[in-house]
Amino acid sequence: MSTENPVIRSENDSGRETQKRPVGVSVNGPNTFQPGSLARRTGSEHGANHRATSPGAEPQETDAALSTLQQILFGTDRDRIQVLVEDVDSLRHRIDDKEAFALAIAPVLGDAIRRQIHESRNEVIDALYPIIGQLVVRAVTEAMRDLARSIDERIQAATNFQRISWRLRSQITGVPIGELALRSGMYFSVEEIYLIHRESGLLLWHATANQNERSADSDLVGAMLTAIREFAEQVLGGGGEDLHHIRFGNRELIMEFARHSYVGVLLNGVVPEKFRWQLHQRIFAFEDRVRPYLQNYSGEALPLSEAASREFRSFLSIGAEFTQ
Amino acid sequence: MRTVNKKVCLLGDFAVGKTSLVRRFVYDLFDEKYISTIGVKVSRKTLAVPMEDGVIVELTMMLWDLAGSEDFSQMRGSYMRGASGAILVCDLTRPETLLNLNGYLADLQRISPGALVIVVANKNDSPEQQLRLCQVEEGAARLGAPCYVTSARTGENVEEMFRYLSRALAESSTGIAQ
Repeated sequence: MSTENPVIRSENDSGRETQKRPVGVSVNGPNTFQPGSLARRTGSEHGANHRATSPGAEPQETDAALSTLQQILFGTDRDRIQVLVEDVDSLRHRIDDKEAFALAIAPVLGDAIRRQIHESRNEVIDALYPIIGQLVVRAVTEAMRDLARSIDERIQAATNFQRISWRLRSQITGVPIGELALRSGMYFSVEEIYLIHRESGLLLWHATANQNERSADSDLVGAMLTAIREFAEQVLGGGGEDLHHIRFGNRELIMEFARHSYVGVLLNGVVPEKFRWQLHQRIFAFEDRVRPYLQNYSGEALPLSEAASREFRSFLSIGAEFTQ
Repeated sequence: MRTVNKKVCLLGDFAVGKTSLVRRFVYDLFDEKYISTIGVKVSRKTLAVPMEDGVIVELTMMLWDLAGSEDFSQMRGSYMRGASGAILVCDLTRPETLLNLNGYLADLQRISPGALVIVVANKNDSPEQQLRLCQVEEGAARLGAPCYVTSARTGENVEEMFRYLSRALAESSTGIAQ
């Protein structure tokens, strides 16, 4: 194929031969054609050409034919270019709008990171370690500083008697005085108390720290607790062992058992060491008071409420006592 | 008014309608997952039971609906402890479920000897019944228990059966002989 531009030969009004290039073909070849310049250039050239080749034709018809030719030759490209221009504008707009840009790339970025971690875990760890390591060190340092400050504040705020008590306990147990002070400051509260007939799972008494919170299903809770206890005993036990606690997040249900009844205490925070022993003592004290009644329990819980309240209600405010 | 709580167990083979009977009688908040996880579902129903002496007993029945499948046969004994009453449920379309009540009753009497028992023949609405009324009555008599023919689907006799049991439980708690 020749590299020369095709040439149409014709004569102008003066009879001089002129060289005409086909429409849409530039002097630099078809690949360098600029659509924007098409109308201007072809308009002037075509006018001369038209007069030269078809002197009797109407200019409007020629323009229409040229327009049709343009449409045939460049219509598809023009539409594509229009779409591309719109896409570029849209992208430019999204890049300029930082929030929209972040929103657009977030899912892809997440997938990319996940994929990268999955495929090159070690490389990712190596890359992140300097940053993460520093963050962890800083967080731990800060936490340790808070801890030291908290211990110091508690020791400063403690009465002489408490300090003597901690010192004595520290000497006896070997636990540093700072740790004893810290332990005494840990959050702890009793939320609900369930006193339950051991055999039947019937609720004997119930109390809650939040008086406004009505616990309508306490007897169902008591029964289900008994069922869960029986289930655990059958499946996991076998040696006459009882289920003593259930933990869920920061909440814990502690259970202590006597012969005919058991107490379940729902609490929040870190359980103090002596709390469990106190609970154990109280459930036995309760049974001592009402043993004949419990031995032949007929389902009437009312006569037990006074004894139960006497033994257990104080636990609802005992958290404060333990945190002293 | 006196307030009394009683534990009542529902016993019987798989799919005889124990849960449907409870659901018909009680509208409660706990869902079915208890059955599939630990083999029991507990519901509660409180009734006011007027006694002959004029006293009204507010009786709360804690209904322990025990799974009938073999998977939980070991657990069943544990769940029967402390029961004051039991509803033995059989299916009128499956005669073997009536015969199997002997086993449930034997377990119950071993674990909770004083429990009141009532026999319930369920699915009276079904056209595929294979047990006759006289067979059910004979079976219940052999177990030494009163019987009710019920339909959990239509509600036939369900309320009556539970009311009968609650009255019997209330009377037992006041020491009145049956």
